[in-house]
Amino acid sequence: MTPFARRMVMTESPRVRRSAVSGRTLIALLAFVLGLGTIPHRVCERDAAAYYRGDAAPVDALAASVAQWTGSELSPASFATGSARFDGEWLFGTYMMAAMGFGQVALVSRQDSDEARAAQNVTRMEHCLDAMLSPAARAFDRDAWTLDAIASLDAPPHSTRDRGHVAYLGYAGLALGLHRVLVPSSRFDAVHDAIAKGLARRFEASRTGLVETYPGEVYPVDNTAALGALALHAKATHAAAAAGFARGLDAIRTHGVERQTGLLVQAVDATTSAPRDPGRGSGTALAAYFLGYADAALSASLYRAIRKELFRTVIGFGAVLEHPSDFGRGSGRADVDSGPIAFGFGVSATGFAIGASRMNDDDLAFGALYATAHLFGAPFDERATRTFATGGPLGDAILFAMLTAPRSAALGRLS
Amino acid sequence: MSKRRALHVIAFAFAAVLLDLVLVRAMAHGHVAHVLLGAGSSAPPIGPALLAIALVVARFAAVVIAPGALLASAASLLAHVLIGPKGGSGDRDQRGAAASASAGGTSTISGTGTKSGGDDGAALGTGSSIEGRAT
Repeated sequence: MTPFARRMVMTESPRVRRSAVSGRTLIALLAFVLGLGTIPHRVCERDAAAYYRGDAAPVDALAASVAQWTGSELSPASFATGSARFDGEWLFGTYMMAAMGFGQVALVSRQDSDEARAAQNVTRMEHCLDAMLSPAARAFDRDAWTLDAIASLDAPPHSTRDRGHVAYLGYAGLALGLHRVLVPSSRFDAVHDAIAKGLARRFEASRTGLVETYPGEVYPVDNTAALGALALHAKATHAAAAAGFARGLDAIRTHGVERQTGLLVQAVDATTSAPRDPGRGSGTALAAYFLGYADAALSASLYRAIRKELFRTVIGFGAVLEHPSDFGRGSGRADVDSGPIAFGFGVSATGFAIGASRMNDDDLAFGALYATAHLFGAPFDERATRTFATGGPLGDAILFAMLTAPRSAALGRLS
Repeated sequence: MSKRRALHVIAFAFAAVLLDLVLVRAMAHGHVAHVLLGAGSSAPPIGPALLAIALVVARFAAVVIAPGALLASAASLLAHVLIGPKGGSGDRDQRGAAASASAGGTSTISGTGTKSGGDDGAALGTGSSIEGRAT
């Protein structure tokens, strides 16, 4: 042994020593848990109140960033998902969601008598509408139907070509309707009228009351966008809602909403309306947002189902399950609608629920959901812009539309 | 948690926060999300993919772990100030305890170690509650 070595003998019991060690470790552990449970979500939630109130500075920073994305050249190749259809959907979705965001900001600005801000956002919105109506953005739908959606509106009424295209026409019609509320007369009026007329006719003629997205494929969420489009067209033109609107709304209530959970069925059979894919978070949350423009009661009903069945908080961070956990339905199964799923929580469901919660005046859920978007979206502020580093053009556009979704008071002033 | 470990944790937390800031900036400027999206179903470029993974890890550490870790460190340092250095009250760290336990009997635990002053000495299991005998 070295001269420095010592033989040591304990003069107190190990029990006393161990408890002293445990006491100090326990305090550190408690401090860690306290920090984990109280600080992170509050840090991430700090901008939520400003977005919920609709403060100009954070909203305008996000709008500026989305304007940069949509001002640059985007193409289907920008969204190489591996499927040409989904690439095109994402391109179209980026412009559509951006248009909704700009329109919603313009709407609130108009209601607050800030005409300059409203005009700036209307200009940005019109750029997105042009892109959304371009042949490149229509290609995904045209390829599926071998017929262009806008061209199909010229088909003889009730002919075999006068059917479907509800996703393209519904989403485009919704954005065009919001624009028309802001600008009652514009170069978009003709196409907007044609879309609204065609959608109303197809709802009315449909055996199930629902319209196909692609041949043989019916997705209730796309139909809710079309119903929002019809409602906004009626409001903007000060006309009564078309008969097809009531029929479509009734079909959603009858065939689209699960009795057990109150969630929106993701897909139904085109012939029988039987559910083909059960109620899910992504479809229900997006439908609750769309229906805010069409039927506040149905939007609120879907939102309540999300709150009850799918919304959870983990150390203060809010998230929405893609599938109701108690049903044990493939919580790990992700697809293009759900986006990535982690521990059962869906990225799309959580993002869309931000808009649904704001439309339904649920500030608590809005704050908790925003905290999650802040944590995983990683916002980056620079030169009066805010971009979500993990979002890309589509992610930024969706969050912009959801964070600016009109509150009930603003929606009420629409009618 | 020893004083030295608490300081290490504080340094780690601040490093994670700093790394998060740097990676968010790099990811936003490099339009990394767009590049990854553009890869589609094929393998993404290695650089952007590594950057994205690093961001997720660093962000989780900086935002979720760091606050609690800082509080835990602060609590340990406060205990150090109020109660005294580890070992001063019979409190010792796991290394000393483990060394003692490894060679110990039932009522008298014995072991060997190197005595040195201050906290480090305490960390090595040579606190005031331990009687040292030269061998």
